Amino acid sequence: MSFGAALWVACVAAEVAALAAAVRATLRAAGPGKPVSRSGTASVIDGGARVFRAPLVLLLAFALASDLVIAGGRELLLVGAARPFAGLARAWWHVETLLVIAWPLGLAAASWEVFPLRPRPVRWPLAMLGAWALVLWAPLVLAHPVRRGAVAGVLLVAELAGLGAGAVAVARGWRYPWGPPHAALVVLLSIELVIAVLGPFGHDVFRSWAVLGRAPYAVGFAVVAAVLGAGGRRAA
Amino acid sequence: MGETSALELLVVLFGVVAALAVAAATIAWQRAARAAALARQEGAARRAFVELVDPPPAPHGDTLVSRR
Repeated sequence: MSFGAALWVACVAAEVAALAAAVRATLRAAGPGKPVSRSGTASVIDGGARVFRAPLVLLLAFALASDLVIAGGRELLLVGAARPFAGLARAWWHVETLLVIAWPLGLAAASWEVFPLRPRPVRWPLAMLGAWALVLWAPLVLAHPVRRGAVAGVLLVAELAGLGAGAVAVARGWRYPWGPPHAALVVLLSIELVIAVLGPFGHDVFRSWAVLGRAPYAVGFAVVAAVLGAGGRRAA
Repeated sequence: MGETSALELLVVLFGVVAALAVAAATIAWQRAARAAALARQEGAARRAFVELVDPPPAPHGDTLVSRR
């Protein structure tokens, strides 16, 4: 196995561990619930509904699914395809770009859902972040093929927008008590800062960022899994 | 590891360590700030309670006892 493949496997494994820890933490926070049947079916359904509504769980599930889908699609449709991409390869390239744009904005959206505990979480930034993703993505689709530097610029704007919105969310939640999900989001935002600073979006100083870029994410998701797991043990 | 140089890997690892340090410092700072805010709130509540159950004498000795 090459170094790049090993890093990708480590990153996906860390994402799986972080997602499992987030699901466990959400179920634990939900408590035993109030089973209305002797079998406890209602509490299981209630716990499942909470898991699917938990912003951190949704974010980590998106990260895992996105990495798997991008790797699979790239292998199937983009490797060896003629440039500029056309047909199915072009369509897939647009999907991949949207997924890359969606990650920092999704991180910001999750932060806006998790951090401001009181007053109630606000929803309008979510709509704004979604609209912002489309605003950034649409020109890349319409003006295809665009030069590499322009794509990097758009991705950098998405990164900075996500980081800025995430930082505002952290500031909004500063006065309220933080738990493991908050700590996990602070870790992910810090890792994203490294990606924005070192990454290929602005000025790429690395020949092999495509390989090395997986290292910060692998470490970041492993730390998130540890933070969520440690929080659960402390609560138990 | 032929596709990456040791220097590139070192820079990325340094970035990751810096990111984790930033995250840890942020979390510790927030906890300390919140603990201080709670202590201030608790102090204010305690003072308010003491004033309620044991109010200080009114100025110039103008108390119920002196009026009598």
